[in-house]
Amino acid sequence: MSQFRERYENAPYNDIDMRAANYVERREAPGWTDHDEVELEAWLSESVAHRITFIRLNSSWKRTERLIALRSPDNGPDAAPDPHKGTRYLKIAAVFGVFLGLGGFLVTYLTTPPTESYSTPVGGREILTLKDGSRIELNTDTSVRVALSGKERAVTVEKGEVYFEVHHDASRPFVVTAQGHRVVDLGTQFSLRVDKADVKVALLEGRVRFDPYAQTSTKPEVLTSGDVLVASADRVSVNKEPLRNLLASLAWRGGMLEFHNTSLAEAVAEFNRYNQTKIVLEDPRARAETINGMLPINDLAEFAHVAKNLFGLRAENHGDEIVLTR
Amino acid sequence: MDKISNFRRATAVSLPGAARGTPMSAADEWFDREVLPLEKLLMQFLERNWRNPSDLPDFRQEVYALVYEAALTEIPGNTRHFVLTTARNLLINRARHERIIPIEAAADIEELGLALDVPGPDRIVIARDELRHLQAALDRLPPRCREAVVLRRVNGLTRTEIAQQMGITEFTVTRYLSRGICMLADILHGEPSNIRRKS
Repeated sequence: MSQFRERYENAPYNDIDMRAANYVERREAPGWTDHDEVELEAWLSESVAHRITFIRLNSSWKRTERLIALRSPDNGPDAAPDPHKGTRYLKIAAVFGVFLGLGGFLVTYLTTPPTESYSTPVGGREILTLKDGSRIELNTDTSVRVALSGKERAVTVEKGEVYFEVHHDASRPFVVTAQGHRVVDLGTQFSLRVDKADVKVALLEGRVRFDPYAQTSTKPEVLTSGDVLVASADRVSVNKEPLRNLLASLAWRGGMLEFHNTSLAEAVAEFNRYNQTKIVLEDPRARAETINGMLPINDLAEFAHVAKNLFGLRAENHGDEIVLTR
Repeated sequence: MDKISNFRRATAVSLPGAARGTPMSAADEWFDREVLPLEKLLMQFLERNWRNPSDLPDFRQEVYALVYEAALTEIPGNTRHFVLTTARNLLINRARHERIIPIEAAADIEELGLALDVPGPDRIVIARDELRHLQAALDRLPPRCREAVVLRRVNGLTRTEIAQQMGITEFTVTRYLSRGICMLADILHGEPSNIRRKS
């Protein structure tokens, strides 16, 4: 099989392939004229080889239409990258949009330390690369403040969910604060989610120290990879989770949601974090059913489709709500 | 409003057809709907029964041309059987022609036919992996080619815009896109098909 792969990945394509591909691509783009259509028709009727090649390429290219689900609100054609609010004191050395695949990545170099705020709208996602090489990925509806100084790198998560890849530097600790709790990096990758009063920290790799909010009586905890900590206002719990589960909960980084025996009610709640149009599911029996698999974060139609096929639910569109009923 | 139209568009079954000016003929539709999903099976069959891999893309096209031509007269009843029989006959003819000892392809047909593409209970759930599957296919394109395809497919840029963004000529963008379309066809047809939504 691998031999097969190598072969077709290096496969030379002949003129018919390339010409058919060119038609396939141009035909759905603006600027395709009736004249072009006539030309294509003529070419297709020249030989069966032309026709089957065209149909074959067109068929798979159509399938890739769904890749549009990967588009984040910030990387459309009219994208106006604006991650920095209140940047009066801040010198941005360079801001440029780089597209790397799983959404619009905005790489921002920060040069001077004052506090800087970043936020994403519902359905948004953004990646910040700090000057020290650390990466911060903001999930939907998230706000953070970042202050870098010579002594400390401080990030405050006000709401939402953030994934950190910290470039460790013992002389300049990386400290994340949420609801008064502090997470101090000891060289690591982790995610942190603020959900009302609760803070959840999941360690993918490395170690962090968790200093609970001063008024909580619990002691600091050192978390290692696989640990998931949940801190509410008055208590802290830590569990080990298989890496697989942690990765599943980070599927949003690739624009997806991943469910494992998740109740439909939870899945809907999770999905609604990402979309202005909310899904409403009242049927009590359906709420308890479980769902497995992956869904594109911002594809309401796909969700409705799953609900219909797996659970026999009907989707009614009420403008800003989609109501699922039996 | 945008959301609503989005909702409608994506739920509609997208016929991957040439249905713009002229509607697809019955043969076109049959070919698209029934033959292309068998590509993986066909390639496995050819691969197993022919020792020179570089011949295979040509064989594939030849089989396609033969079955398509037959379908212009009459749409075959059992597509899988028809495609594989055509492939076997083609190989036998070629083997004779090149004085190669023929292969025992006959038994394989039923064997392969049974093994593949039986929709299981997981089918619908698997369909949810379509996007991931497409992403994986994208990731196998060469980097620049991939970038062009992403800018086109995900970001919806025009060729001119892609050329500007990538700092290359429109001609090169066209080459990247065409090549990307060909490679994606090999990858996606070659490894379908539990992903393909039944219409």
